[in-house]
Amino acid sequence: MSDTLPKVTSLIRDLFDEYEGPVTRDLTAMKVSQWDSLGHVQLMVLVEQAFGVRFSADQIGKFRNLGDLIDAIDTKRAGRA
Amino acid sequence: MIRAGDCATHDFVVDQEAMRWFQAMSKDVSRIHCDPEFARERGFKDVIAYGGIMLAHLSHVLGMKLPGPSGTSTKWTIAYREPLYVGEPARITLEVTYASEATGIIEGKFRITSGDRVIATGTTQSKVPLDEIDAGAQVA
Repeated sequence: MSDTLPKVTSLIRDLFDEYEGPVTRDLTAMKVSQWDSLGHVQLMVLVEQAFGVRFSADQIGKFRNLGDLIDAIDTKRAGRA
Repeated sequence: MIRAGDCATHDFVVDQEAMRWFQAMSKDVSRIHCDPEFARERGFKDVIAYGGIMLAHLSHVLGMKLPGPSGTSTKWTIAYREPLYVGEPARITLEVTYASEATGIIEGKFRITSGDRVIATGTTQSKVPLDEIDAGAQVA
């Protein structure tokens, strides 16, 4: 099983520290009050650093939910392996 | 263009005028900053400079040098390690540690030193226009 969701969950818990709901693949920014435009770019930076991947500006604007982000991370990690 | 590894420095001295100004602005009249006898009883040589004044100088580095006038600060952390005394020369050295092409986020680490003493260390995060980041020079 991929360790991506647990790692991303930890990042989300740290960054959006007022959010206490579940972190699942269908999580969206709409459900997290701290997940605004700045929170989004800060999350992207944390993800880049945690997983050693790089996104493009185009990519980070197209994630519909956390599942899309996790899939993109896994795709980049698989391509690097 | 900003890239990981870029550095900026800024020299400053916290003088009595700055102390008075900060005290009036912050309404912080705690004895460690205002009462020399109290400070000496606590093991310090004299009153110690307000940490907020050092942050004001950090603001100068970020706003005027690196990333400069187009940046917006989004996060700072600081750990105060040794006291800075009024009248002591000090230097801030800031280095860019991470530059994200996708987000326009610049991260840096800084040290505030006085001679060979490390007064404070910390990190910064700023948002800049995407076209100001040199994507060709990234730290892994």
